[in-house]
Amino acid sequence: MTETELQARITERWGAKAAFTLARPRRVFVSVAVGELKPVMRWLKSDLGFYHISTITGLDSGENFEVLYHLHDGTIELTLRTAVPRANPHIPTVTDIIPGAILYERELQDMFGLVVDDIPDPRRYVLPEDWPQGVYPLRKDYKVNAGN
Amino acid sequence: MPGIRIPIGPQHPALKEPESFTFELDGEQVINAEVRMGYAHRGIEKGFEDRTFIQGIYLAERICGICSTSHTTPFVLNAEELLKLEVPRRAQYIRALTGELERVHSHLLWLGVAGHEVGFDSLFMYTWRDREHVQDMLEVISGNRVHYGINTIGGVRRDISTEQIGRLKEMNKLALARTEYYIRLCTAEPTFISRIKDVGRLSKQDALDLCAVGPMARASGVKRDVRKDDPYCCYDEMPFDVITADTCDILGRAVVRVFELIQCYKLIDFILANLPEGDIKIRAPRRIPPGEAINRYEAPRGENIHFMKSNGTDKPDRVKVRAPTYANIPATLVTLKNCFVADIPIIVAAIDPCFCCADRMIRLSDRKGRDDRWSWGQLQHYSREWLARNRRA
Amino acid sequence: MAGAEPEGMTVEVVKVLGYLFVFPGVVFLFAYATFAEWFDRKVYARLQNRIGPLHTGSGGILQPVADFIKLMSKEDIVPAQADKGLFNALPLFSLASALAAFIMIPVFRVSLPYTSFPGDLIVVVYLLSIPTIVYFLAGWSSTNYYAMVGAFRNLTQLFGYEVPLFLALLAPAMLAGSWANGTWLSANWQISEVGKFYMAHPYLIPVNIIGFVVALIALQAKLERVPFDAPEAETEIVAGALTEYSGKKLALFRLTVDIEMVTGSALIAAVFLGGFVLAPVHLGTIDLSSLFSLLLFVAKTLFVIALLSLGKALMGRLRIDQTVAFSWRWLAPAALLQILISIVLKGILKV
Repeated sequence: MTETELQARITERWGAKAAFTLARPRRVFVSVAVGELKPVMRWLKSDLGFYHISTITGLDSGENFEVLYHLHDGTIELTLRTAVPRANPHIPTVTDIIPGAILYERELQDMFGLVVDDIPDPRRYVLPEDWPQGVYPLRKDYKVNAGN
Repeated sequence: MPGIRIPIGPQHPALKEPESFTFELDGEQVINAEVRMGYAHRGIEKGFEDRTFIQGIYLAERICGICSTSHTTPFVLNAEELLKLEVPRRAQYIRALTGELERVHSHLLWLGVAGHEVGFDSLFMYTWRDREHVQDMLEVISGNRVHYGINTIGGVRRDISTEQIGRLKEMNKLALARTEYYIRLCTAEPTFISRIKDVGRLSKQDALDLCAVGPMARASGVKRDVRKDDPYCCYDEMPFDVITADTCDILGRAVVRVFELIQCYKLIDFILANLPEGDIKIRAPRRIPPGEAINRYEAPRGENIHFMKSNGTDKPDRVKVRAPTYANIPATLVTLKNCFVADIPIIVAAIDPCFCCADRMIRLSDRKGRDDRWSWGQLQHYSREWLARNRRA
Repeated sequence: MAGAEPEGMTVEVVKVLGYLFVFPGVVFLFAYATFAEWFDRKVYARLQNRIGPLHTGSGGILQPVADFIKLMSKEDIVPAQADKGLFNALPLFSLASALAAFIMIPVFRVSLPYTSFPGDLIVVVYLLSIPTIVYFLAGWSSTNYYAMVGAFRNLTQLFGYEVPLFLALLAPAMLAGSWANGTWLSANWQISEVGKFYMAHPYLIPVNIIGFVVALIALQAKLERVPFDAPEAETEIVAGALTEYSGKKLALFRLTVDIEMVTGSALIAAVFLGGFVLAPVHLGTIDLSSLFSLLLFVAKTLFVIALLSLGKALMGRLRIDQTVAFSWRWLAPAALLQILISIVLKGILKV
């Protein structure tokens, strides 16, 4: 499927709920609200064949946390982005749609302090067991000590 | 011995890098497997945010020793995309050449490690001997055996002379002859095959659901290769095949890697024969305008993806790296179910684990339980002091 | 020894002590076992396009001795939960049985009546299986998971190769036996007699080729070398039954393995390749047969060891279930076949 066909199908199905941007050939960005995240992803997987999730990136944008789901169907890289407020950083799990996302969601929890609802396995993944609770390294307010 | 749990790792002779697997066993059969990672986490993604883009290349290279170009290339591709730079074709070809040489040395390394894991040390010795030729060639073109430092934003740092091209062609012929020997060996040696056939099965549906990448997925019949699907560095101009197997076991993964080696030699020959003339780099500004870029790269172990967000300064706002071994871990846990204890090392080795890529924090705490993070200077100072105190006269 | 005077008795005792402890006893065996280990490591290395031991002594020949000395000087750690008495005594048991086994093999013309007797073939094979049981006990008493897995694999492998080894060693002895009462076969279980028989009839040596191959493979399994080193698979269970052993105890265990290798090859050479005892050869008034025996011993055992090293370099490691399946599917029937051949030939040839 070409990028224009993809755009047509997405706007036809989701209208204003999914904002489509074409960055360059084979790079597509789609923005959705948190509530639409799972329905859109489910539709992308079952109807358009975006079965593979490469990784999930978290961004600390000050007031919000942005979460980017990098999907691809083999050719086009589609990034599904959504935002959650910093005060209430809850995001639903997508492991029921794509089971391979489990490790990326665990990393999001460790590094940003996002809470992934209904995650099948909420244990720490990257950080050591004795890392203090509530300290999230990849947030912008966490500074690395450059020499004690 | 029903239901006992044993740990393999973080230190174990089977594992070349630290990670902790916990197996629930019933006699010699594995019922369940869990993994705990993070032993080689170095906080690299955070480190990118404090460094300029050029310093970031240096850091990206050191994510991994075996697949260092696999990290610098998507990093610089991201930066060039944000700068909207047109990189000269000669530079792209040289990047592809380094990438393919790296793939050769990595697959030969894997073949040796696989042999060692099943106790076939002779294969280990032979493949690593041949790998030395490849390392020599990498040293000829870049000056280093690992961490080649050949990428920069806008192109490559070193050019290849005609004399070097001649030597590379010779090495290619030698490696091709040796690899054909390994193909015969992998497909004919009964003790080797009996250890890897029908071991570590991963069905095609599981490979797709769990988002496996690289030879792990290709051995289960999933025909995905970033060089063909999402070409970069002029790979769309180069002729090569994507190798898949449908046996879904470790024999399939071995066969895929060995035949990929043949494709690498084909690619190297093509690149050397068709190296375009021109500059090797184009000047790049220090500050990168705000934007986001994503690039994928086919590392020897699978799909490597980098995401970069810039904010107009000379340091990136966010860099996200997902290395292929990380993606293969859920699939590995599935392949480990219902295997024998004896098969654990070869199954873990079959994803070609590079856990340094997969982790990205080391925390030091002294005996009094204080937590200290040391800077590089402090570490150097401490090591010099310790050596002075403990040096024997 | 009957009716000996006190001086005769002393001479006899000194002779026995010399035989047991100097030559071909402990000292000689230590030297030869370390030499055999060097030879094995060198052959293995050259087959892998490497160099092997090089610096200690000329060509690295003292490397195994250096390793032994190094291990003897290392710290000896006993796990807190292990059965200390058993844990500490086991290395000595295995070393003692391996040494005792070697004494029974008639190596040179000089032999004592109590080390060579009818039935000593059976005694040697029995003594050689004691170290395996000791390894099992060593792994068991270590209370370490990896050691226990290694110990169980040791025993499992024992069930695989012991019977074929025994049967294969019996076949040449049966051929070398004698007709008793003109009708039925009385096998000769004395190694020196077997050796003498084949020295007298060298054309009968190739007849035992199947048994030779079976015995070689079974010996490779007994010594736990690739492809049969599942009991001590480094990449799976760290070091198998001996995981918790260190220092002096580990040095003695490793020495036992070397001595087992020499004893096993000497046994195979004595039974299948004609042995080492020669008739007296005189140069002037000096009897050179002992010297020639020594050379023959070195040559034949090194030949067997070279074959074992070749096997080690050529193959990968089999899983324990594959080892047992292979032993019962191929080795045992082949050994039985060899016995059948021996019996039939004995009937035909009536030698």
